[in-house]
Amino acid sequence: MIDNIDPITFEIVRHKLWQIIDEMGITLKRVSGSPSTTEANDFMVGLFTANGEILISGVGVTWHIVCASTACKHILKFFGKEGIKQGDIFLLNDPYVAAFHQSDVYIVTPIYHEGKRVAWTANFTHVNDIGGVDAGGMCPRATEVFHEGLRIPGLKIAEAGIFRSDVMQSLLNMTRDPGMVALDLRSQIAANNVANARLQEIFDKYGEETIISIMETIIGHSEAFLRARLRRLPDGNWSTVQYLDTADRFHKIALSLTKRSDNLLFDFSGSSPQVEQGINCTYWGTMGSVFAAVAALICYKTTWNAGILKPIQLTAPEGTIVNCRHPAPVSMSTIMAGHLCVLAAGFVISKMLGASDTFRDDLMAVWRGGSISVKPSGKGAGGRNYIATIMHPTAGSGGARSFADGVDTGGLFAYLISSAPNIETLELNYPLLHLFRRQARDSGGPGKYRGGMSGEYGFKLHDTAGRKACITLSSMGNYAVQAHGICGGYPGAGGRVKLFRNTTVEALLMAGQAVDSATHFAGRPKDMPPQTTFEMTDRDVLFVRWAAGGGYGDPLDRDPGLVWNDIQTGAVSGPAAKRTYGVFANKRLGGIDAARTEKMRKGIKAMRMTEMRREGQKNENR
Amino acid sequence: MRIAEALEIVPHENARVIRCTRCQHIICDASEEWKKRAAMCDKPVTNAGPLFPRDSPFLLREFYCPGCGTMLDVDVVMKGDPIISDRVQFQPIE
Repeated sequence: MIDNIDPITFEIVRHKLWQIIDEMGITLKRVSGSPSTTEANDFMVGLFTANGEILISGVGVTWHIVCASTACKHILKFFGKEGIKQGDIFLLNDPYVAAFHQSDVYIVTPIYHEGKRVAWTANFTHVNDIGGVDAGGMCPRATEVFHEGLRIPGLKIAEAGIFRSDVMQSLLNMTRDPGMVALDLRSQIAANNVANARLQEIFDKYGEETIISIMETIIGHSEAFLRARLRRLPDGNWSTVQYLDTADRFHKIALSLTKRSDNLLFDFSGSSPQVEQGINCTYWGTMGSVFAAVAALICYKTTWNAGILKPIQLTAPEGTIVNCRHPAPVSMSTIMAGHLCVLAAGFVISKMLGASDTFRDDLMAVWRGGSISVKPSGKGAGGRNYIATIMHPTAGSGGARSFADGVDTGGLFAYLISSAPNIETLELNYPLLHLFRRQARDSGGPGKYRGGMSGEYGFKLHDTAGRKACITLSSMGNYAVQAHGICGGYPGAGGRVKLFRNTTVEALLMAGQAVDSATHFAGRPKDMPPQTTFEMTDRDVLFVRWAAGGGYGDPLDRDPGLVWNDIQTGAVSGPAAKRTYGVFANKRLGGIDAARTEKMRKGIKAMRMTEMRREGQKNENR
Repeated sequence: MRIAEALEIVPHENARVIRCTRCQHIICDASEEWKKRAAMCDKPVTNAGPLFPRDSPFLLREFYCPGCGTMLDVDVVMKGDPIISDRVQFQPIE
């Protein structure tokens, strides 16, 4: 290793490496035609050292980077020194080896320079179908991993620079949507090829010894940054409990964070046992979730890499939903236990940040609790098979901060490029008609600073020549409350999925009427269970509302002017303003009635004091 | 040293205590778990807004300052759940 690297060279190379992962992301989006990649940005790219340690975590779904690093290390072990050659490209999607779930396919490429392996590059996309019991990759009906589709612990999709058409065709034979899956896989190979070409340029220009030294230094900087930041935070212990709802029960994710000096221990002891439903998460998924939370909340000023993992210790008891044993199903893990682990880890870190005068402004209440994946599949009017992924909930909702509201439909926590798909693109590709998509009033968790609003949408089938569609619904947080508030803030509202049967929407539309409310759908809706499959006809409408962000601080401390603004913009209703914020809005006067607001707030506090006295005896016993 | 929006640790009679920043009411000794000494009420989740289901099995466990009624924290719990522990060591490192 070179001891004294010229700082200018160091920064140039560091930025060139950053540029490479940006270019990988651009390549994925331009080459793939799959909406989950091109519209919702459901992918991740990264660069890794020669032994598979994370060098730079790229844009995308951050909690996948630990899985990608594990994939590189597994390929090294699985194929051995002699089994890996220049020009090889590997494919892996086995959750019991490295991945979150089978739908997230990793393409892993060793990087050689002058005949020596010097680095790795890897990326994943969420392919549209992987051949499980339910179309679209998420399999609510699976009870074992064997029901969830093709599971590959590592194979060569290119060998010594030659693309393996036989392997590709074998993979595509196993999916219901070979066209989209082929596009995704080819975009992934292209992204790694771009990274390879750019890395060759910088290795040629600066030399192997310099680049390897810079790689090691970058990782060292990240570890030093995190440890220094931790030493400035108070020691302590912070806990949270999250519940995950399935049709018949609630499953617990218990997390305790202990911070001592410059080390963090995340302990998931007390979490529920694994179940025969694909909500479980594997160990590296949970580790990736913790990594993502630490990276987003504490390490936003440094490079996200293996250095961040060094001060982190993880306890995830085997056989629980946060570290399941084979053959537990995991196909919904990324939006179930894995997603809750990210939220839980972010929440306990935020509690720790809230205990520091210096870093309080870095905390955030829980972002969009819950997840809702809706995948209609069937045949369109022309008889063409389709599997649509409706990813509007990736528009998410931000958790409130100590100085500002959460961002309305502001994306997902630690998923920096999450975005809602373009409805026009969805309707162009699939036989769907959206009736509305909008922000949801009264959804943001009340607080001194309000949680970000979530959104809601409704759709029906369209132009299917009377054919039904099968809907695969994978959701959580519709019955459990997951978007916790912080420092006295209330939680954000959860999700909802309602099915309206035999509506008259088509006739209303033909009559030129806008159809944007449940009152237009007629009939009594059915609240759908969190994870299920069901049929939909072209007379049915599905309504979906996703979860909002949690609030910060006592809602009675919210500036009444901000509440008035919320009423004006439709974020908060008049009754909620009165009941939750103690704010009396007088639309006739065009503003807040200050005297009545003060009186109302005093009344709510007085009620709290009365209840406190009543509850006092009980509290003495706890 | 502030440890939350409305809580701080301050010296008091040869000891350190956790108190409310709004009314200076002393809640407990700094070595104790403050949630066990604050006032506490379990409320329906509909307190947080009209979109929460009325039949939810979840509760909002609200913690107040016993001196002024400021809401210090809200935990989401199921009936019978123990208090969720948060404890800050009052001696920051360095």
